[in-house]
Amino acid sequence: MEAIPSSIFTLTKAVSMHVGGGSWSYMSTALMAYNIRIPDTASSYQDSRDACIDLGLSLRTPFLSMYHDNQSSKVGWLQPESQYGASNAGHLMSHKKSKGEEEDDGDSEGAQSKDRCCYVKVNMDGVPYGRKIGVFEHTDYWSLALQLQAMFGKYFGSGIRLFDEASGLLLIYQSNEGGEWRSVGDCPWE
Amino acid sequence: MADMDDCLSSIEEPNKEQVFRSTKVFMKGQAIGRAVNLNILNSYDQLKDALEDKFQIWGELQNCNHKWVLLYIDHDGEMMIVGDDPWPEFRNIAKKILIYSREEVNRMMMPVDFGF
Repeated sequence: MEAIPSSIFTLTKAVSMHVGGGSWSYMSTALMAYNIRIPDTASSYQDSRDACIDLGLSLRTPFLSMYHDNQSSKVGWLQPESQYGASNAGHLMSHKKSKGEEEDDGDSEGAQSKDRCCYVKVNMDGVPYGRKIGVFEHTDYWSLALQLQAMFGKYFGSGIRLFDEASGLLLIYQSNEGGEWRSVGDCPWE
Repeated sequence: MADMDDCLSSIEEPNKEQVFRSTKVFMKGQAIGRAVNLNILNSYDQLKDALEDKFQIWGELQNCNHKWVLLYIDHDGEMMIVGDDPWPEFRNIAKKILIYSREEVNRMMMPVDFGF
């Protein structure tokens, strides 16, 4: 099967005029958001309020060290803008590794490799665990945004409102090619 | 010698499914972990059943009271939530399984200033 570029999505803080004062050593890069309006679906998560956290506290040093054993992999995380351009070393989607491991398993596993390739990691600032989404299950950015809202909306009181410049969140991805981080939405969905 | 050869040749190759793929499972707060053979399980529901048995939390993983959060560590060392991957994929990529209480997960949340 033709190799599908692997990507990791990260919901990261938008560096824009909206950002309040205070220094932050957070490893992030400001990228242009694709301006698509998405209905605020936050109301559907009212019952998850008990899982919400107060996001108004000061930003802290990236939490990578908290639960990433291998700093050198840095999968899914960004470099400060001043260092932008140095590709993230060690970016390998888990699916790529598992695809290699499964090569000897015969035809029974072949049908699964297609699914395996399409699942990418999604991480959101402040959330200690990541999620997986099947990119090929979606037909457009809107559909993707809705799933991400379903997954992460409860962590952000007003809904994450992806692609809304005013939301304060940016969705970025890292492709296999060159390892550069880009804003989701810059290129056609296909 | 011939008897030994006959004996060895009569031993069947273990079915791949029967090969024990030991995956460690830890519950936050408990010093001793358990191991689960993911190869004999066919679904996330079966995994939850097995974990409920091992940790004596019957019914608490299957129902949706959100008392526990099932997480796993993958080969990249990243913590991911259990359930998003197709089951066959999960079996291959889960290096360790963690059972956290909801309160524990909330404590792990890192405050992020989104500028509001």
